[in-house]
Amino acid sequence: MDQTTTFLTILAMGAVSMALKLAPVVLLPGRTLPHWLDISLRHLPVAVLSAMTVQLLAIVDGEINLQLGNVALWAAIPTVICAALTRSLFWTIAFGMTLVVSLRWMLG
Amino acid sequence: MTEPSESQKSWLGDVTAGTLVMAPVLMVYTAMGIAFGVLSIQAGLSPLNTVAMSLFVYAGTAQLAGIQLLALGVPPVSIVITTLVINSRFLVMSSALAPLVSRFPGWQRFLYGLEITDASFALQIGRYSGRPMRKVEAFTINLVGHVVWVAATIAGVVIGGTVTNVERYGLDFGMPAMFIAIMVPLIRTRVHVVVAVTGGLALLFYRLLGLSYWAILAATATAVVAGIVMEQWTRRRPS
Repeated sequence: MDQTTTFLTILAMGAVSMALKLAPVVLLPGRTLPHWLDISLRHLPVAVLSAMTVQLLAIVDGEINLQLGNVALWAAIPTVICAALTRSLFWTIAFGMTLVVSLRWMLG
Repeated sequence: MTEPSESQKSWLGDVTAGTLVMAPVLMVYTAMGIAFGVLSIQAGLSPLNTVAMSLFVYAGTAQLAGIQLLALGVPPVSIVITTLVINSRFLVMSSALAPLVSRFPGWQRFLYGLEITDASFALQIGRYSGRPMRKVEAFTINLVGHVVWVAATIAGVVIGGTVTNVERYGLDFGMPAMFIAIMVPLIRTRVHVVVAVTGGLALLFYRLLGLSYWAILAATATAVVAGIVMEQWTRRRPS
């Protein structure tokens, strides 16, 4: 694919992303949400973050990988504990990334 | 020299607070942005297109999927549809944020909406539920996020040819570590635990069924339903 077609594709990807992000905040205010939607939205942050995290950790090259060799997946367990103990964005991220780098280094 | 007025002081205070709240996320954006820039150049995208992607699409997962599909020569229509599916979660996040910005004028809601990301959503929904949104602080969070994301992408483009394996530096763990760091403090009741566990297991289940990018949305919906059911159930039998 040449770079011009690529650029136009990127613009279309951008338009789609922006439309999805924009439509509710621009159009919804002033309207009352149906009750079921309102209570669903309360569970949304945890639900979507959990699904995204597992997607990023357990899916390697499009396949589910729960093997011991998937260092990032297993490093997530101490990282969750660290997050629960410190409740700090900074320390959790710093701990998690250091752990993964050290484990990969030790395992060669 | 005149003393800064009260409004100037609170303006500065909000800019500082927004930047500080966002600082750990900026660390991840830097790592991920560099990784994205490197991978994009290696996938054969031009520097301009790589930066355009971070500027216009501004969504890590969709961008990483995008460069892989572009490299494979997948037809543009399929790539745009894949972007739609991966980013459909923003429709839900934006709906959750809508009540927080309902008093902003239309053009401010527009600018606010453009900058929604997983991290800005999760940070702000936690920070501003139960108390009014501080407008300058929220816009600072959004703006520094996007600026750092684009700047890191440019850095990745520059070093693109020299780095061979971004995994060695743990950059790939930045995003999941950030999601964990944002999610865990949101888990305060047993219902939340059920939602989190269901979300993760459901994702694996839908992947096993053969769903690829739809799996995130399907798993999210399943976890939300599990949360609602669990809530009804615990309300009926108080423990």
